[in-house]
Amino acid sequence: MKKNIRTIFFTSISLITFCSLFMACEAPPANEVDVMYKNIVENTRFVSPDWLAKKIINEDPSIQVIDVRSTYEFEEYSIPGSINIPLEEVLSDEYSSLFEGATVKTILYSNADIYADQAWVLLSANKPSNLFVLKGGLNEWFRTIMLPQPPLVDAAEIEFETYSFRKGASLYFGGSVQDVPVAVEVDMGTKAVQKAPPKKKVEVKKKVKKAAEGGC
Amino acid sequence: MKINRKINQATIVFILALFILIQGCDNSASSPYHFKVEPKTFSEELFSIYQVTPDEAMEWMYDSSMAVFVDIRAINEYENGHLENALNIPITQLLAAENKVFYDQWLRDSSVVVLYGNNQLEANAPWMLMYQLGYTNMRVLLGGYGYIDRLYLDALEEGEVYTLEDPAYDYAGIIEGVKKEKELAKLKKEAPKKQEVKKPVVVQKKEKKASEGGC
Repeated sequence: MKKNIRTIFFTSISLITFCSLFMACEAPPANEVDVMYKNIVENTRFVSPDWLAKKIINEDPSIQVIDVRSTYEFEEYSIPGSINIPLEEVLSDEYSSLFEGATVKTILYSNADIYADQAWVLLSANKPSNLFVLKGGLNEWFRTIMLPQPPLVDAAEIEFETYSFRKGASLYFGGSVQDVPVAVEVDMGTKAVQKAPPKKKVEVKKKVKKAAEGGC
Repeated sequence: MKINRKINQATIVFILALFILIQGCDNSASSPYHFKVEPKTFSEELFSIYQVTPDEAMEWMYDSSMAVFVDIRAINEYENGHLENALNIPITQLLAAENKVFYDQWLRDSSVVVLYGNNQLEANAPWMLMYQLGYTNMRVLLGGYGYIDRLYLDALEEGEVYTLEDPAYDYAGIIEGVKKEKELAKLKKEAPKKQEVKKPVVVQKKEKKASEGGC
């Protein structure tokens, strides 16, 4: 009995020593370069347009969306509820308070994901962060959420579920649903063709405006 | 004897712990790389840094005096196909201590080092890291390997560009178009108010007037 107690005592003591030593060893902050490198290699910084759309529709208070494009582009179109911080000004003191909240997830976006990713690297340099990049940016946002297209007839069920979510999201954000199942009926196809031209007409009108300005 | 054994056990535990401590801490100790460019200065320079286009890369890869190409994809991807004369430094090896010699040498020779992945995004963050570590001679290949590969195979998707940040859609135009469509649909429902449909035409007239006035 006594021996047993002694071995238990020793093993527990040694375990505690080991544990405390490990803790002490990991406690000093790792090299700044390694932290940043790890952040980059981990590749966990991307969120999908579907994820973001869901968060916005549910009015999730734990996210903030930041547009890193120019002010001009931001005023033309932006994701509802987003804040504009052009990439050049991302590190200015004016906005630093926006990135301090530990509980708030910040989602960065640009037209694609390059500028947003650059903002991410600049902002998360050697410090832990709650920053994310919208994968594919606005182009992907429009392709999937604003102008969703139905999956092929033989697609997996989950794709149809995604599509039905996107249809709802598209209505919510004021996009237009391409409501035509691919390769089904000709009648449906003509409807789609009829739907498309009005958009084009709008574009043409814009061009006319621009031309008038240039002429003057 | 019993006391001796106790001491023995205690010393063994202590020595082992010390050994692990030294080993463990040694691993996490200094990396040979250090930040040399502040994020703020970098963000100011960012827009003026010229990146390498696919056309340039296709010329330069046959001329080692123009640039060094570094493929940061995994070894199997590299072996499947890579740019002519490109070196393979997988992203997992990017900060390996033994690679520093090369980076320093290229910096001293001030040769252009082009990092590339499958697409521009893959190489973007690694490039930004290396730039901040002082390797300001490094660049990113726009479009990445995928674009050049598809270009060679004549398999570029319709409208595919390597300048990714160009808007692929007329965002504002689409939103406005949908709005107008909805308004029209509403007006159609309210049959007697057909006269109001003429209003958009009036708007167009206004535009004309404005341009005349300007001239």
